Amino acid sequence: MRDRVLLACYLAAVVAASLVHDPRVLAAALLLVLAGAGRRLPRVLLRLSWSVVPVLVLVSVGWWVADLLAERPTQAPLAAFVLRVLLITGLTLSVLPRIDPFRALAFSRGLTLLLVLGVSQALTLARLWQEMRWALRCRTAGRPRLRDGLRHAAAAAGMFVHKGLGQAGETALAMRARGWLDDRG
Amino acid sequence: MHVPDGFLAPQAWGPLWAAAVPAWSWGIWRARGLRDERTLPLLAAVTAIAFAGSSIAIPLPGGTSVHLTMIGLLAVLFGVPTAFIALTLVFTVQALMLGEGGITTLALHALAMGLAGSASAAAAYRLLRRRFETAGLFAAGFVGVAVPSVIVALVLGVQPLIAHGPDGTPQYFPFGLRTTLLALVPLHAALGVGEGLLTVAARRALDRLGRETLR
Repeated sequence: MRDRVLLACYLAAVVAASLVHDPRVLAAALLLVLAGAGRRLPRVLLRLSWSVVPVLVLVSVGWWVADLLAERPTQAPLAAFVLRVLLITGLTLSVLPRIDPFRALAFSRGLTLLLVLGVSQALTLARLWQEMRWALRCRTAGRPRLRDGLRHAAAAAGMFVHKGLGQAGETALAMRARGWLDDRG
Repeated sequence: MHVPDGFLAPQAWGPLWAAAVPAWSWGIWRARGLRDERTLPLLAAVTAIAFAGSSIAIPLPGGTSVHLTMIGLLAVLFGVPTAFIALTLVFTVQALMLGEGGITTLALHALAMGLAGSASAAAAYRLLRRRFETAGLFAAGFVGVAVPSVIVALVLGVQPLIAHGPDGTPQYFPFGLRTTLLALVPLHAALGVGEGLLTVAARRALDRLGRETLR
């Protein structure tokens, strides 16, 4: 229940933050979110720095230069834009790790199962990708050529589909063996 | 192409969410629901494939790389509804767990990349596959990236028109259509060439793997 309430509060906060235009309110809310992150603050700041800061810098510099050339004073809208993006992403990165997605989605059996299967298979494929990258490094003296890199990426994509379909088949059989069909009423 | 939260005005993300909800219902219905014993594992597998596939880097000349989207490959192999739902789940996980993209922009990503991208990729493949299968696969990979980039550029580019202050100052994403189309579309068209080549090669690799497994 706690996870579902927290998820609902987070979604409401995102919607509310996207409607605010006052930079002072947005800055205060951002400070609150960062203060509330506690020990996760360094990780939140690091994630912020690579997920939104590069694109924010690009857009902000473009906006600032365009306004400078047009002789328009628009510091407040630019500040509101930057603070709003940082606030919502900061909120996502500091609140969502506190929510257990399996408990939040417990109201739907299908969604929970989809999440469990999807996450477990994604982890298997991520491990496979790591192994394939090591294999490429072991086989190649020096930096792989562009052609080798492309062939490796294509082989990995093909292997993901092949392995994913195999896992889907095995899971379907396991679900049948455990009476997934029979206990649906 | 992942647009962060705060870039779109509520006047844009509201209608996009309103359009996405029935589209998701259609996708789940066409993928035969979440209660089918074969559909659910397949949907989970395709989601995992798309998620893991997004970590595959396409090497570019000069030592840089971009990440694979797999939109064309998924649409060709599994059909539009399954690819749409699987890609939506991937965008949700990316937004919630990694801070890439966003919640308010989720509907844009799902509709542009998941639905329009996979539908145009599947259509391009169907159009060409009888006589030129390789060209069809390449086209699927290419348009699976190029079409969403046009849609994202259009949505971003209308933000200054639909959300501005009394003096005309933009309140959300500040650049107009000319800038967004020029910034996004040529770049993604170039990336689409890499994605197209990789779609062809991945399909060939998959065929080889299938033959080797049967041996």
